[in-house]
Amino acid sequence: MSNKLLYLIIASLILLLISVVIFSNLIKGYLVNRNVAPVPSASPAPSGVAPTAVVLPDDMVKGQSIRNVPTLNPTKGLGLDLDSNEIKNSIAQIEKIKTKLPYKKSFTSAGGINVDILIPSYELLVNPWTLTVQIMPLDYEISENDPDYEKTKAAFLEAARDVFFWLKNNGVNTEQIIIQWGDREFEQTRSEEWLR
Amino acid sequence: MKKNLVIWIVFIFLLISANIANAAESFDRPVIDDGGNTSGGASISKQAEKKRSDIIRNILLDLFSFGEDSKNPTNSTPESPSTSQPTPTPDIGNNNNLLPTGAYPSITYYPQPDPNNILNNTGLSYPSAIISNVQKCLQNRGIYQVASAQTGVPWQVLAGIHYTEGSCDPNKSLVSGRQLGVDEPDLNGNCSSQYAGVGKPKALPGGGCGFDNLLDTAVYAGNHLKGKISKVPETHEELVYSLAGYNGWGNTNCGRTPYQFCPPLFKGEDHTYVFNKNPDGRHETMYIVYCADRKTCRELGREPPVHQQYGVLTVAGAVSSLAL
Repeated sequence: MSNKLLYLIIASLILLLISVVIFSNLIKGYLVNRNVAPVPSASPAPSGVAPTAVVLPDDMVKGQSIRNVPTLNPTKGLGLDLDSNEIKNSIAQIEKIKTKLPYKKSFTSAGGINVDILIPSYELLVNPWTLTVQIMPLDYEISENDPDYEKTKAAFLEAARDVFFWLKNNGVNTEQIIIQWGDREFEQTRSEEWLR
Repeated sequence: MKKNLVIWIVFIFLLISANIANAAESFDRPVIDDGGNTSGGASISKQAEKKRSDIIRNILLDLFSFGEDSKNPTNSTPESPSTSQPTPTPDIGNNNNLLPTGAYPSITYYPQPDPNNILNNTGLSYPSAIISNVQKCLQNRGIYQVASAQTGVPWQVLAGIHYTEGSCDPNKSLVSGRQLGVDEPDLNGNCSSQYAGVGKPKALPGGGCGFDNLLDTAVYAGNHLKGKISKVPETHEELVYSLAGYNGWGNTNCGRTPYQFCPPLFKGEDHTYVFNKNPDGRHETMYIVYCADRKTCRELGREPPVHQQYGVLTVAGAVSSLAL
């Protein structure tokens, strides 16, 4: 065997050694990443938020309110002006998710409350410009002195956050959509208080 | 010289072998370290084998997927320790039955004895006082039936809602029991004369929204009930859930009143608006939870009083027995 051939073999082996070292390090790095099990959030939205301090981004909760919609001139009719931009914009936003409804989700809040979220099918919305969101079975009448008050409020906000994220993910401009939280007056009032 | 070269070759071979052995060990370690599984080496090696093949598959997927987001079967295998942590129930959009949620601590499904009777009142005997009180609901039967045909909600349920909200008075609404023609605060002014039709609220001259006939309010109520579960209730459990939502969930009795039959068999089974005085051995005596706005009776220093009004299902069942 010539010296040349031997040098060639040694060079090849060194190259092979370097490749093996690089590859084994890659494998190790890969395994480290793969074996960090994701900690599932107790809420449907990003985790790490204490149950008493669920914070919703301001731009999400700035949604349109039915109270800001202009009403018809009495010579033309009564009630909301459906030709107003507020109504037209909300209809356009709801159209974006029309085929994705109903939206149903159940989860356990960080405070341990079992919550169901329901946005009914398009045909069961109260009208084409209002997105009805049901977050159940929460007690919207709960007193602020009740020991479960903070837990209930936080559960609502976790659910609301999930709804906002879902809307955003579907391309909805949450500043233009009219959302009605619940049906009863006391549900709507409490929801708006909590979202403020 | 040649001898030195041969030694070098052997040395490099040894280095490569050692490196490969080390890599193989690293490859196995996180897989078989499962936190104290003592069920035997065989199961561990099977798990390790499976996870190893999963990992190899993942590596290959990652190498050849060119940026596509590959699934991670390692974390979704049932053996994975991470799955034991509480997780939110996944989106159940494909599940037509909203109920029950997996996490709820009651039974997973209420075994309705007669699948064709969602009122679940087979064999119940209604006291004469209930029968005589709900008799007047039959005067509106034709309207309830028209509303039922339009919404799919059983007419007896519409009668039950109307009795509970407005004593089956044909001049009162099914939404809140207010006189027809007055503003319904629940509607929050959300109506327009440009959007009219059967079952739609009307914009009132004095402002606000209301109904001017019983059929509209009954159709609205039926649709509203469906909106609580996004469909016509098909089971007793679904009906109860949607009725509890129709009223609001603050009137559940368990944990807040002396009501005895706790925990509820399913969501809403302890709701007084739905069940009060139902003669089924569980709901004859239920309680009022709130004695003032946002104040429970207990918070006001009072024991919750016994609720006297009939629940919706109680009326629906009684009306149903009358109509036979």
